Amino acid sequence: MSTAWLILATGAGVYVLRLAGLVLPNGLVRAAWDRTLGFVPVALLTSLVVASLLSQPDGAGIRLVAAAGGALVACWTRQMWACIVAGMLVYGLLASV
Amino acid sequence: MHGSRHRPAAPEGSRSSSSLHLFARAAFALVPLWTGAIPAGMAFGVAARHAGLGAGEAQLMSLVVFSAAGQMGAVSLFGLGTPAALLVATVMALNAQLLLLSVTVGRQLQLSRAQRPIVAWLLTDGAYGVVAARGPLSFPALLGAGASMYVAWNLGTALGSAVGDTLVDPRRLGIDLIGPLTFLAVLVPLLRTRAARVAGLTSGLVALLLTRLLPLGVAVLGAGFAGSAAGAWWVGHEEGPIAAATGQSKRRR
Repeated sequence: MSTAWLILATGAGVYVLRLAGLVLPNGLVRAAWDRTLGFVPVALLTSLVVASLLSQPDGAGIRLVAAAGGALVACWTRQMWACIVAGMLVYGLLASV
Repeated sequence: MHGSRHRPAAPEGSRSSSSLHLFARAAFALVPLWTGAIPAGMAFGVAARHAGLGAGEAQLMSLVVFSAAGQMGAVSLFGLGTPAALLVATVMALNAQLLLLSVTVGRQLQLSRAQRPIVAWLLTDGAYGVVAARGPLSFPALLGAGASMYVAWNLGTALGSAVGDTLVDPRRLGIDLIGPLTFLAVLVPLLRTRAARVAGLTSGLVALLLTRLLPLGVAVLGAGFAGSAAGAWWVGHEEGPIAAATGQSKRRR
C-alpha cells in the first residue's frame, strides 16, 4: 500500500469514528462500551510513549529524563507546545554535556 | 438550522444572518487555541518529514485525519515499519474518544442528514468544548469552531513541513522526541482520575514487557487494550457489582 493510500485509509477510519456517533441511534453505544472506550486513548498514549522512548537503544536515559521534563511542564501549563519545547530543551542540554 | 434539542428554533427570517453570526462567533472563540494548535501542527510537520513523509503527504494527513495524537501515532508507527492494517487500527483506537464525542453531540443536537458528514469532518474535543461552554450548541457554531481549528492545524503543518526541510541534523536536535512529547502532552490532562492512572500504569507496564517480545505495533495495541480493560475493571470495582449490573454509574472517572 502506498503512503498516500495508507494516509487516506487512516483518515477514513478516523472519519468513521467521528460520523458513527452522529448516525447511530441513541443508546446503541452501551454504558459498558462507553466505559471501556473512554480508557483506550489513555492506555494507547501510554504504550506509545513507552514504545517510542525505548525504540532506540542509544541515549535512552537522556530521552527518559527529557520526557519527564516535558511531562512536568505539561502538568503545569497544559500546553502541547510548551511540553515539546521543554522536553527538547532538556534533551539538548543533556546531550551537549 | 437545527438548534439544540432544548432550545426553541430561531425565527424563519433571521436564519441566515443568525447562522453566520454563530459561525463567526465560534470561529473567533477558537482563535486563542491557535497558539497551541499552530505550534503543535508545526511539530507534527517536522516529525512527519523526519519520519520520511513528503511535505504533500504530511499535509494530506492533516487534511484527512485532523487529529494531533492520531497523526503523531501514525508517524511514529510509520517510522517503526508497522504493517498498514495495524497502523490504521491503532490510530482508530487512539481516537476512540471521538466516537464518544460524536455520540454526545448526536444526543445533544439534532442534525440533518446533510449536516452530519460535515460536522463529523471537523469534530474535535477542543472545538466542541468551547462551543458547549459558550452555547448555544448548534450546527453553524460547531462548523465555525471546527473550521477555525482545521485552518490552524493545517497552517501549522505546512509551516512545520517547510521548517523540517531546512533542518540539517534533526536527530541531534531531538526531533525524534516530538512524538513521545506530543503523546505526553495529550496524556497528562487525561490522568486526572484514579481509574485513568490505573489504565495508564497497566498499559505502560504491559508495553515494557511486550515491546521485548512482539513487533512494536502489536505491542502498542496489545498494551493499549490491556490498559483500557484495567481502567474499565477499576471503575466497575469502585462502583460495585450492583451499580455495574444496573448501569447506575457514579461517574467517578
